Amino acid sequence: MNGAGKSTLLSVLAGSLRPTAGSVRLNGLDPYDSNDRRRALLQTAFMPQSLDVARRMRVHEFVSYVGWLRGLSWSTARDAATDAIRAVNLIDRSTSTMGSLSGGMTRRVALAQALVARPRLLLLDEPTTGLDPEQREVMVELLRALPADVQVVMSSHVMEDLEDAVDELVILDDGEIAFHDSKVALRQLAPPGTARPLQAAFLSVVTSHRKA
Amino acid sequence: MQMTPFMIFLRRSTARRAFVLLVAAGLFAVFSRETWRGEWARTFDWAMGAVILVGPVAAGIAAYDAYTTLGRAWRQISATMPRAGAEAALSACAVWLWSCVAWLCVAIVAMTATVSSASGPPAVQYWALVAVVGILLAASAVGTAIGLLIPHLVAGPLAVIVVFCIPIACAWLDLPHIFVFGGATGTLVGLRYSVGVVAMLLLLNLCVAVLAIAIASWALRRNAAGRCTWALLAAPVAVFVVAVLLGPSTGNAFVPDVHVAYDCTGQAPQICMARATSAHLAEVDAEARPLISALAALGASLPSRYEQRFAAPDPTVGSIELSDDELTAGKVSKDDVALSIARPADCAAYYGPVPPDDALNAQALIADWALRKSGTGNARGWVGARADDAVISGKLDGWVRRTFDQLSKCEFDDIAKPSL
Repeated sequence: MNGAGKSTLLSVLAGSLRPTAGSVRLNGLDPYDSNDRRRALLQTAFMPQSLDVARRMRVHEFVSYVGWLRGLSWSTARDAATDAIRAVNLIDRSTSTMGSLSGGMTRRVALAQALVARPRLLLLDEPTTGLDPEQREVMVELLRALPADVQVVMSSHVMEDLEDAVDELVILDDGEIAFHDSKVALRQLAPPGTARPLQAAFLSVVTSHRKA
Repeated sequence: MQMTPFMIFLRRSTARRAFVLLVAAGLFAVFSRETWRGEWARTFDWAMGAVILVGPVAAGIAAYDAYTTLGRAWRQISATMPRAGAEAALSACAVWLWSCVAWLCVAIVAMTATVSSASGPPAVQYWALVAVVGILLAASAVGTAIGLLIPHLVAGPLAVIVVFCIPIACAWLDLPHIFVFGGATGTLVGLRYSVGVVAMLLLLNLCVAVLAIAIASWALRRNAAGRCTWALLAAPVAVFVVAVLLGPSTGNAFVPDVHVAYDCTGQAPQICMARATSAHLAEVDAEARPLISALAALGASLPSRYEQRFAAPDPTVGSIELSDDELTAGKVSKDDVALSIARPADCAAYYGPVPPDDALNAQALIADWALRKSGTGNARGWVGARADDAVISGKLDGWVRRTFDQLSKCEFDDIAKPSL
């Protein structure tokens, strides 16, 4: 849902927005604890909704630089950047400036910068929002192709994109958890015979939550 | 060449694109006034003074770079980076390096402009440019901090205004003179930079730079987790305050230099000028010799040497007094040479709280007498019609010889007016 608090939650998980209440644990580590922070951040990466930064940098420079900031040595960061850019099928645009990329390409660079330091936990904030159908399909394919040992937490209000990409779902409504279970369990909440069961189940959950 | 993170920022910095703007600002500051030409040290000092405009422009560019490169999305992803914090420093340092190169171009242009009118090789205390380097670093860092604190296009112009106004505010509030250096409006012969003051300025500007980068890093991660930056913020402030309390005043960057090198010409007396301004030595000598001959023919006791004086008074030598304009690019005035020849001793009384009017009036009359006797010039009105006749008839000769001797011995109290 728009305004449900998805981006805020991901920012809190990424360590970029200190929570006003409660606590965060990433694989048992608290990113807001100075003792855990470095280890927590080394295994976490965040892909923001938009990446309107460093428009004059070239794609490979940008991803390398992010890799270096994530703790890699410079030479390792450069090699890792090449791998990450190849993984998002942008190797032919390595020397393009960030400002010259289309929206879909920028989104893929955002994914590449998140992948560059091989994180164990990947936080993706609406990776397909605003993309045309073709680019959206490309992004979903890229997400499907992510290494199996990478845990992915992604936010989206497009249920179709989640259909094949996730195992577990949390539905947020107005900052509250309306549902938290497996994709199979959510699908079972859909009325029988529905053409798009996940979408129908989602609407059912939200409606029930608001009534409650 | 393999790109490093810093080189990436260096190549992609707006300062690289706006390099011409940085140079233009410096050239405007330097050529807004041209009395520095002809004296190497003064030219270099004046070029250093260009930071008064190069600094604010660098700050504006740094603010723009910070706003456009390290925007909202960057804050989100950088919060998850263990090495985060480097980007604000890298962004500021890239602008700093470009502004240093721009300033260097301005300095080279200024030094080249002075080649035709200066004497000898450039004898300049180049090390003083560390003050400029420190100022440009501080200006770039402050600009970066402003760009991150105020993530809006207005950050650029605002940074220009802030950095331009800081030295004015410091002067007004009697605080240390940060962000400005150089721009001397008089000759620098007989002066050298104080190592203590230049080091103090460098230290203060480094404190400002570290503080600004710490604030910029804090602005990038103000909502994120991380170590407390209070120590990083407090350290440069503490050093700044301690340095201001215990260090030398930054009001005057110069100390007297007793080791002035001279170039001399002629004999009995020699005419000597400081090497830094000796391009005019031959001209001064040519103007002075007929006057000296006239005084020698009268039997006046001439000193063994006339020289430009910059240090403590020395009654054993005559004093050559030329204006700043004459010392740099201008032409030497006959009248000023005549007045100098009529000052056969560099007496302490000339530097006292009360001007020795009798001595100065007598000097003027002797200068006029010498100009007329030698036939090299006309009086500029010191001598009235009766005195004019006295010069021609020789009635003034005795007074001139007697008074010149009294000026040589610094016996100003004995000087009498001529009886015409």
